[in-house]
This record gives sequence, structure tokens and C-alpha cells, in this order.
Amino acid sequence: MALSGTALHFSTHQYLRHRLVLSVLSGKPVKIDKIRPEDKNPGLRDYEVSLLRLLEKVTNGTVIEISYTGTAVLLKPGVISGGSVIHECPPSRSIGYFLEAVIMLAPFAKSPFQLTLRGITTDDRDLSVDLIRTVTLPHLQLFGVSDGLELRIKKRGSPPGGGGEIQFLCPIVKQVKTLNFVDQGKIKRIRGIAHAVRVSPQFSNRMIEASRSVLNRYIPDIYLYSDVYKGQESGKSPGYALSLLAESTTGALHCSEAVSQPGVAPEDIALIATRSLLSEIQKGGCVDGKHQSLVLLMMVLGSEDVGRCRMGEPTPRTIQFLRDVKEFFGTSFKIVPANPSEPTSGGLLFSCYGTGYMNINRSIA
Amino acid sequence: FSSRRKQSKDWMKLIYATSLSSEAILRDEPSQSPSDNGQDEERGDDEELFTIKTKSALVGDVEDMDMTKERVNEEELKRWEDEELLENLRRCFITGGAQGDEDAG
Repeated sequence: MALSGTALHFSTHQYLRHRLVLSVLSGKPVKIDKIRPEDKNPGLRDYEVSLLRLLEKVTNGTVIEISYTGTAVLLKPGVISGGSVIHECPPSRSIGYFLEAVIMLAPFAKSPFQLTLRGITTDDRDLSVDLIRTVTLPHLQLFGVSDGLELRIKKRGSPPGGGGEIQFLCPIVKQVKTLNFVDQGKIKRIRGIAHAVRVSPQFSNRMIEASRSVLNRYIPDIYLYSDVYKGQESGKSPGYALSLLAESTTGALHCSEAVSQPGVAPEDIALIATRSLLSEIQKGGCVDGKHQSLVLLMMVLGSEDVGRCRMGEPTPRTIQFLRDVKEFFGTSFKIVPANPSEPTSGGLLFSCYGTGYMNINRSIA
Repeated sequence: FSSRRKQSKDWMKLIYATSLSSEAILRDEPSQSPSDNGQDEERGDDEELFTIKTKSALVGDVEDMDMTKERVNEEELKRWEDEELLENLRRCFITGGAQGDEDAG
């Protein structure tokens, strides 16, 4: 490992995904060691290896070395090639785990992404494909990544069997736009998707009913859609979920989701999703808590100008992400209360000077 | 003014100038010293010659799954049963504007 001298060095399996993504974007090699060294089953998990393989597929010239014990990995990134890629996601993690990483890279590929992922479409750990389609992609549009940006849910797959399939199409950009998003506005509409596969279709209606019982008091513009997938398109295992999103007058999106659990009634699942949405709205800001990292990353990669965005309190993941971004790009954010007269409420204003990241991989058309 | 400033966290300092874990930053007010924390004291009582490592390893296994969605705290969500809190959130919606609640009825 002659390269390890120049590589950025991190330890533990935590935040592995962000660090790999930042390495590929910045072009800086990364060495991660002490990956679960004291675990009964030490080293990388199958989904982490699968993510590394996916990164290998979507790039050209990437060198990945995994140590014999699997407790250390060295990634020397190549260029992001994009194009047509098919990947089978292991049943230990949902498609969201892989797609979230790819979404951060896709706008900077050599050719537009046409990524097909197969596996679990909705679980309780990562963003479901519904939230990625309705919330994550609009967040990318804020940065000028919009024409041809699409996520198609071809088949649904609930854990543990999976069997879902999605197609992700992403255009390439030369550079992302600088963000200036400080007015969070007021919530004007609520949308939701309730889906139920391999169980009674009535379950999604019961979830919608229960969610409405809480939300109807606020605004009339609520549309909760019951999404039905049948036969082959409904995957291998039964399950249901409710995804909710609230949109403000200025286009700020907040989202929440709850997934079926054994022995819990659909009404209770719907209440968890609904109340999580209320908590998310209460936190305020222009960006949903689960999308802070994506937005902050795109701000760092923006043109050489000051980008500003109002957010709620950073999540633990966001805090570590901010630190890692500083390691890779040298950019630190200015974080001040958005409302100086009331520092404990009203959210925080994140601002940074964009690095002017250019998509050098892009083939000149 | 200075006393008011104390209540809000200095996020930039906490994130970039300290090595506190992200959870610690979110949990503690900067004015609190770490020893005030109840958890640390509890742990300190049991610590003598040997420290039990399995506990921290187990916690790590459960929590650090590199998840985007945070675990739902159902107890915490129960606060939304409170009518007053539900009404209070109305200010975030177009129907509950600060200029008057003509639509709120």
C-alpha cells in the first residue's frame, strides 16, 4: 500500500458511506481502518462491500484494496463514469443506502446515469425510494440538476425478501448553482404515498384515514395517494408503509416515513409517520433533517460564491459530515442563529464559500 | 445580551474546534461541564479495575448502522397527543398566519 502515505485516514465503520463519496468527489484517496475490529464478526459487512463494488462500477480507474481481515480498506478514486449500470443490492440494506451515495456523485459523471438497482425498496433505516423520488430529487433541483432527473419505481420489494427494482436517471452538470435559501415560508400542502404489497390493499386506506385524522386540522390541501402494486411488481415479502411530505410556500420540503412492523396496526404506523412529520415541521428550516448532508455537500461544490441556507439543528450525522467535508475540501461553514434576537429558536443559518467544483469528467458535447 | 448569547450554542466552535462526538454536542449545553452529566457518573461508580467493554460494543452495534433515517422515538412522539402543542404548530401553516387567524376559525 504505497499510496497510504498520501491518503486521508479515518477509523471505524461509522460514516463509511459519506467518506467514500467525499473521496470519489474530491479525488483524494482514503484509508479507513479499525472497521469493527472487536466485533464477533469483524470487518466490512456485505452491504459495505456491495457499496464498494457499486462505486467501482460507476467509476473508471478506481482501485479498492480490502485487507485480509476486512477491517481496513483503501480507496483510490478514479473518474465518475456513470452511464448504464445494473446493481443487485444485498437484502441486508435497502436500495436507499446505495442510491443516496450515488445521488451525491451522479451530477458530476462523465455521462448521464441510468442506474438500475434491485433489492428492498422501503425499510426503516434509509430513505425509501418514495422519499428519494418526492423529496431528495427536488433538493437536487435546487442546485440546477433538473432536466431528465427521474426515479422510476418498477417493482416494490419489502424486507426481508426484497425483489424490488428501480431505475434512476440523472443528468450531468458542468457546475452546481449557488444556493440561497433562507425563507422557509409556511406549509401550504401535504402529500403522501401509502403503499401495501402482499397484504390487504385496505391497509393503505386505513393508514391514510388515520393520518388524515391528525393532519386535516391544519390545511385542506392534503392528498394522500394509495399506491398499488400487484403480482410480480409487489416483490417477495409482505409489507406496507406511509411516506409523508409537507411543502412550504417557498418550496421547502419536510418529510417523514414509517414502515410496517409485526404486530402493529396500520393506524399506529400512520400515526408514527404523521407525528414524525409534525416534529420535522417543528424543527423548521428550509431543508429536511435527513437531507442536510446532501444540501451542504452541494453548497460546498457550488460556484465560487457565498451560498446560504437556513436549517434546523444539525443531526449527529450532519455534524460529522461537516467535519469530514472540511478534511476533504478544506471548506468550513459559518453557522449562526438565523434569528439573532432569538438564538435558541428560529433555526440556524449555514453559509459557505463554494469551492467552484467543476465536472471535469464530463465529456464535451 | 451576553446572557442570552450563552443559551445558544456556538456551533462553529463545537463542530470545528472540539473533538466532541456529535451526540455529545447535541446533548450538552456548552456551559455544562461534562461531569454534570448523569450518565458519566453512573458509569464512573462501576469502574474499578476492569471496565466492561461488551456494553459499549453492543451499543455501537445497535446504533451505528450508518442510517439516514433516525430511529423513531415513540415515547417522544407521544407529546403530539397534546392539544395545545398541536394548535401551536398551526403557525407553521399558511392557515395559521401571524397576521391573523381568519382561516383558522
